[in-house]
Amino acid sequence: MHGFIIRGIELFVRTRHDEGIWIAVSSQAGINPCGAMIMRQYHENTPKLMVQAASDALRISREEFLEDIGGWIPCINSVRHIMRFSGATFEDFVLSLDDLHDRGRVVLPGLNLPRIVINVISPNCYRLSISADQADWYPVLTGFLRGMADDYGVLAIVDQEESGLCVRIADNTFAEGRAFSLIKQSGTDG
Amino acid sequence: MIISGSTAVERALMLMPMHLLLDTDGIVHSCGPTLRKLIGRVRYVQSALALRRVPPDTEFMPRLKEIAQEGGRVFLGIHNTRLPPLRGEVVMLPENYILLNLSFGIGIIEAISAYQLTEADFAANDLAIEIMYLHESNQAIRAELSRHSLHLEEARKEAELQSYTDTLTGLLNRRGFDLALSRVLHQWTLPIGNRQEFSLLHLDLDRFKAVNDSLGHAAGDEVLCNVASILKRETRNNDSVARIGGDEFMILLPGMTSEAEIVHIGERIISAIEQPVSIGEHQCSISASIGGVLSRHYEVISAEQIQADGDTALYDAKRNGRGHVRLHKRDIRAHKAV
Repeated sequence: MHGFIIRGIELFVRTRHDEGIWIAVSSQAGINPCGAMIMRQYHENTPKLMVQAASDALRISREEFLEDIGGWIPCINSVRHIMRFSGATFEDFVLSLDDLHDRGRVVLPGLNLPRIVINVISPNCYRLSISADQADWYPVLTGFLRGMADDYGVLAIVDQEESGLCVRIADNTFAEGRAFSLIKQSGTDG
Repeated sequence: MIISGSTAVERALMLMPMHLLLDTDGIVHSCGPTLRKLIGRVRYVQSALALRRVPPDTEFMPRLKEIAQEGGRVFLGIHNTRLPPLRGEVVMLPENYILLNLSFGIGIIEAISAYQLTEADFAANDLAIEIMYLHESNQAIRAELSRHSLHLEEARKEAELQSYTDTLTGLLNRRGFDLALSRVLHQWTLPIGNRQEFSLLHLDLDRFKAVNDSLGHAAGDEVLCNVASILKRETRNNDSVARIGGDEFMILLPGMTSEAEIVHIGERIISAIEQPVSIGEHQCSISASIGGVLSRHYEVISAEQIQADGDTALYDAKRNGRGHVRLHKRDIRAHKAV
């Protein structure tokens, strides 16, 4: 598993929770407690061990933990910026997720982001599916889509169904979305 | 070209190496040379390309016309490839001709190598080549950083291993032993059910000083290495064996709760150590005393306490004539029950 993913989980645990949790996670997953290395490959099983250790320590389910990670991603300003760049509207953004796998691969070879297939069911309703071996991404994607919907100021209902994730955009005048400009403002990156 | 008075259109098309000029039936009237490398010569556009990001039963040409009128973007997958969809804009020309101007999107890097494209295949205002430069340099730098951090990681692991290892015997050193002890103590403090008991043996060689004094330090070192290999041989893989001082050794036995078995292991170790070893023309004959402690005799354990008790048991063994195993008898649980 690419160090980028491992480091991502680490950053989530260390910024949203505390060092005590990180110590438990790193020792149970066999990661250097000083921090994961973004440029190396880890064992395929490492993220599973991390998620198990973290959800045990936090006394929540694996799915809840994964969804929290997904919800945290839009809070990273640089990621949010590039994601907002992918679509002028939330609908465009959802549709652009079919590029995610290839975009990730171009930036970091070996970064195996899920290959997301998007089916348009009807206007404002989409089904996102991922291959079964990457099913752990579903809860992450659920949290991520809800977070991005908030960012666009769109009320989106995201449900996990048997055949994939169903995204319904209920009302696209739900709230003022966060202001977004392609010009990156200095000092806002975090 | 069939559009009447089409010289202007024809010239404009020369600027677009990935264009498609279609009529309303989807018949291809002109195809840019770079796009042709991807889809070959096709009569109908639908036989090479499929609309993406649309509902599944969308009809190709009517939708394309709609997009042209609305001024939106079009995403087109190429049949029989794994390239990400091409993307572009569509406009209506006079006489119901439809013009698409496409580009690769993120698939550009794969496409360049798959179709052996060069700078000449792209419009002068296309940033494809600049993307390739950035991509290639990014990969080169990434590979270097990756190699470098791998190197550092290996060095760190090696240094860590060394800092826990006794260089003479290859056993754990004092630091390594402290770490192993803190691990078994952690396992011991878990709630009943997950708790794992353990035992500790403290071993001290008898008559070792005589070997060192009479035959020299090199001979002494050889004897120590021989003892180390006996200890490794007589213990299990998950036991921790350490040399914590000159001729003092510690053995941690996770999961060991039987007094009889500990005595048995200890006696086997002692009898192996008592086998005379020839060093040069000399026969070295040493022995060992062992003090043992069992975690199950405690209600509360500290690392200091259990080591002190091991030490006391070892002292008992020595006082009782050496070459023996003595267990520390401090049954706090039994005591409390009285």
